[in-house]
Amino acid sequence: CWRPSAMAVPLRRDGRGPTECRPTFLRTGVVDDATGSAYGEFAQTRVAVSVFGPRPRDRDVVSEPASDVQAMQLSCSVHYAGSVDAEDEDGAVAKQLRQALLPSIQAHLLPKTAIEVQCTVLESDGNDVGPMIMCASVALANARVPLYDLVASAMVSQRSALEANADTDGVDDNAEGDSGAGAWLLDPTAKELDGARASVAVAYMAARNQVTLVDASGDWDTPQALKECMDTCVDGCKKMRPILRSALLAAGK
Amino acid sequence: PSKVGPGQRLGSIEEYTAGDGCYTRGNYIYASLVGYKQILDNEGDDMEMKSIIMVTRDKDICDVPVIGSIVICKVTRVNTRYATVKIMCCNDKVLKEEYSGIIRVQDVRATEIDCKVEIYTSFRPGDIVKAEVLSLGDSRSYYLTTGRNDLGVIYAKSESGATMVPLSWESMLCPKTKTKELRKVAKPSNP
Repeated sequence: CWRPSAMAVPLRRDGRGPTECRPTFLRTGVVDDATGSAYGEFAQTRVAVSVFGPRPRDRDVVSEPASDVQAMQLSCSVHYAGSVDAEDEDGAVAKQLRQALLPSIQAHLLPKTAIEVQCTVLESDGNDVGPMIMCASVALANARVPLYDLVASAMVSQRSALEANADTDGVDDNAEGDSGAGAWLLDPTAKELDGARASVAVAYMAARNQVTLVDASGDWDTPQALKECMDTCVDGCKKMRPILRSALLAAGK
Repeated sequence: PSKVGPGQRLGSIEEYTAGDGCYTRGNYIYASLVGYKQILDNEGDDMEMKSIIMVTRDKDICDVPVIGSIVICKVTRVNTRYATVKIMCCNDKVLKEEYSGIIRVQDVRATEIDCKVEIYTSFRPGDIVKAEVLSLGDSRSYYLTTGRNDLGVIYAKSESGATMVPLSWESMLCPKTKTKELRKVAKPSNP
């Protein structure tokens, strides 16, 4: 079995097990001007999302040529705050955000309208597309947009040999069996991602049992490994869902 | 009443029917919005009707004009074929942003649509009109109709600037100059 037992794998730097997600803090209604908003802290990754709309569609905007004039239009934009060393140059990250969120919106109830999702990454530690998707989903619900479900997201990365050997935090490395190299880690931090051989991120809606985004990269040994990691991601998403929901319901009037 | 969020399972379709704020998938009813779960019991003798589950919002929902919505709009331009309006309210809720709509000459009245109706004797720029959404229209505007007795101009100012009083379905009177002006007037509803 490719998945190492809990005994053999050393703990990660921040003390988590291989299938534990980072602690999360989420709050809605943080931006007064926006129809809906959410702020999320996933350990060291901090994201704020504002949602505007539904508004009348821009008549002059020429979107995809085959787009239906009467359809709902979702546009996403991602902005990295000054301290974060990244830029969404091609809009690739915004496209991923849009792809992950679009299936969750009941677009048939919002004809001829446009919804705008603006995401600001205040601090980034590892996977930030996942936190963006989750915050945006909560912000959409906060904006009273009719949704099928909240979208949760999780990422799994494979530790490479280099990273495992560099672990000198007094944790029992290389003690028995697997050295921890090749171990699969759920919700990796930036350091864990740097040394990773391969990673896959998944966005998932539990109510419809539907995966809305898959982003796999790196060196995968077998298709089974990819599939098992995606299943781990889906499990991670199911763990995140109650957290997202309780943040949404906890909001005051 | 318990607070629920999108995607939360509320009940099965065997026992309940989905109402506002819910959707059905498979054999279950799920919530679409954040709100309070309410069950409206079926009163009456119809054994087929089940209780309705609804999710009510604690704040106003974003309202979007759909076919059949009654809207209040302001006329911005007229020409021989249609009047251009800005939709300000939908179903008695003020919209945060204005949508644009048009009332075509054939949609002004329920009868006599092929000839004789002139936009200029039905609407003028600045009039406030109550209309119904006919269709989602094209990329620029919704198509509206005033082809009912209770639809049409509800407020207008005369050429001399005074608020006019409705006289009949096709004319209004200026109280200052005592002149009649032609409009397609909505029948005032009994308070």
